[in-house]
Amino acid sequence: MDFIKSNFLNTTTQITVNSNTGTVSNLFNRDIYYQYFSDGLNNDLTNSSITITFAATTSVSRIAIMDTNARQFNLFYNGLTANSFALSGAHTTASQFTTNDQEFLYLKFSTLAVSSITLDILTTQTANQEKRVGLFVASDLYLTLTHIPDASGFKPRRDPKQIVHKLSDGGMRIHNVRKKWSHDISLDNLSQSLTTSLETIFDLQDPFMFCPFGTSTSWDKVLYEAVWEGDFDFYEYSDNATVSGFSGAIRLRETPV
Amino acid sequence: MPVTINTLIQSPKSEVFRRVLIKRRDAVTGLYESSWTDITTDVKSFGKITKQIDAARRNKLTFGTMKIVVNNENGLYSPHTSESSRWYGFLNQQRTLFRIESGYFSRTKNDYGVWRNRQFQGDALWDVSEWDADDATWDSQSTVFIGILSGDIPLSDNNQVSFNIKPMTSIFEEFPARNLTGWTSTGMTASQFLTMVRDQTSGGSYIFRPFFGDTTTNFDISTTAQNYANLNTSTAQGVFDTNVWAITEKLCEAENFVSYIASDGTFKFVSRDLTSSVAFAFHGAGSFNSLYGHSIKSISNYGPKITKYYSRVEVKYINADTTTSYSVTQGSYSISPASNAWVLGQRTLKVENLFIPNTATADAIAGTIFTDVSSLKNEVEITTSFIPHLDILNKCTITYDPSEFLTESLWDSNDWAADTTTSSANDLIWNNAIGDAFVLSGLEFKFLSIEIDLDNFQSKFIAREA
Repeated sequence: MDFIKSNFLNTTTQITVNSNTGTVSNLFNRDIYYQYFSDGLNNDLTNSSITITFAATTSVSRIAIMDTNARQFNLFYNGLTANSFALSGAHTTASQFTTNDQEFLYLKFSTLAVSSITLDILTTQTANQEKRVGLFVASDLYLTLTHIPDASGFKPRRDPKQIVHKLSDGGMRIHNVRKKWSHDISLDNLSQSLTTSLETIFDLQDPFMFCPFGTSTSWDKVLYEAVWEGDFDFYEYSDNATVSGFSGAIRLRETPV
Repeated sequence: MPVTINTLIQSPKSEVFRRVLIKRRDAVTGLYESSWTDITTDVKSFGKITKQIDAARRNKLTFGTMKIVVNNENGLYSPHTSESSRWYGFLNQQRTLFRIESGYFSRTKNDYGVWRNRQFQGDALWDVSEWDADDATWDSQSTVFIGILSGDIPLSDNNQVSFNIKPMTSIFEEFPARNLTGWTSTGMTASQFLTMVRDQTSGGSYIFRPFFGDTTTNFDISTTAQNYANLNTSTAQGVFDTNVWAITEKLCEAENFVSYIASDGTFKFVSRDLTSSVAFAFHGAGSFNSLYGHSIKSISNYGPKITKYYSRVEVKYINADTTTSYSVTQGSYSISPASNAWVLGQRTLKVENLFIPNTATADAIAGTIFTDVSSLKNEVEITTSFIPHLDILNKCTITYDPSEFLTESLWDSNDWAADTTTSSANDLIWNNAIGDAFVLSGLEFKFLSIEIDLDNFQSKFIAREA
């Protein structure tokens, strides 16, 4: 379970593309219904190139690519194709995918200081289509929660902001405004060092991103910018001995887009 | 099946949107920014948009003040003197332009897996050829209200700020007519007057145009021919002691026009052309319709409105207090069931408008008003799910039958008590029992009031029998 920094990609001036600049803001728009897509590159012989350039050298250890139709693509840094990321837990160790079949990828690698990241999409899942990316996240790790809660202590929800009308014949009509993620996570027997790390997350003024089970294959697509709601109660002991560690709950709520 | 506003309204589950955007004024030039800033994510309460038309004087449209509450945790909405404020470097918060957009979303995926987001407030506002293009989203038009920030903006320790957003008509209401320049000594027509208002300047800069996109395109002023002699100087009677909007309303009445700010922010001075076709059909319990669906949540009020019935209309159009200064239209008074004045009483509606140019026009106005008010008409107040696209000048129908049962009459349909096979008034014939509730069977109504509650995505209409 990763607590990571807010997306380092947050303005259009960071982005250089070779097609359809009008939709580049959708690369960091967390509303998944707005995507970056190429215009006129619906040919597998033509690359779609997206480069994100940071104002200063930036430490990066997580990249998420969401809602993409890329099959063969290369991900590299500092403008050199050879600078691929050494991925851990992915079906390829270098970030050069030849037969990707995933629409959502969460890529992990050791922290690298980079000045730019480039995504070159060469082919698409169905041949000769426009290339698309719904959301691109470049981030760095705050904390990996290695202490996995039991099922009863892990409550993920997708809460819709919803208006329910009861009509005159008793029937219901629903207007959905937005759906937001929330997670309530109860943990027991945490070490002192882990509670201290969690308190660092709790104390953050800025939002962070939460990804419970990020992976490059069969990812559940859950990654959202969150705030920690309520109190920090990890000062409670789990049992009648200090060695039992600490218990508490994390209440994460998705932020507005 | 093509997606329309009606298919989305009747959909059991649909996506809706609401946005709040602002335009501030430059601290140096005093002019509005060229682009809008979206502040939706800071809004805690969106409030209600209301517009209504006077039941008797159908040239008089009024718009309510909207109240928006925003989160001020980080001081973004503090006064312009605060460095954290969105207004820092701009003029005072007062008179900031607010634009409210709202409607329905329709989303479809194309062959490439790209979502096309189509937003609906009204079909007519859509450029279909534009949204169909891959790199396009939609036309900018989904605006339901444009207004200006006005009134006190107190800060408090609850870290939220309330903004009162007045309708754009308020900029004309607060401007004294005597301060206008450009009068002609022989008077002017209504359209000339409004063109003069549109082109009004101060120090070489336009006074009213900046509120309307700084272009004459956003002023829809239909040409009129009648000359009004007293629109000749700033000290003329009916001018010196009133404001620009009050004169505009009087001219509307004299011309049978309406003047209002359309939901897209366009200034309108146009003929009062009530649409004859039905813009929307409301259906509720006991009714089924595949085009409009079931939209009524409740009918809180229905019945004849005696307070809006008048047996006599008296229009005063000359200042002198003599009989020739009045045009009167009234129904006959007789001791008879056919005389409304006898059955319902005598009530006089008094109208004073010194811009009415002659007897014929006064008679016509009195006659038109009399037609509207001289019979006892039903009014209905309905609450519906979200219906954002209707206008105050539209016509609608309502079909509603809340009774649970429709039993057969116990009486023999062969008129057992009749002495002949042909029924007469004295025969004992009962209607089928339909309970004690009212039944509306596609009855036509005209809107008097429309309220859109953007917090609850709910609409409320008050309509008068057409």
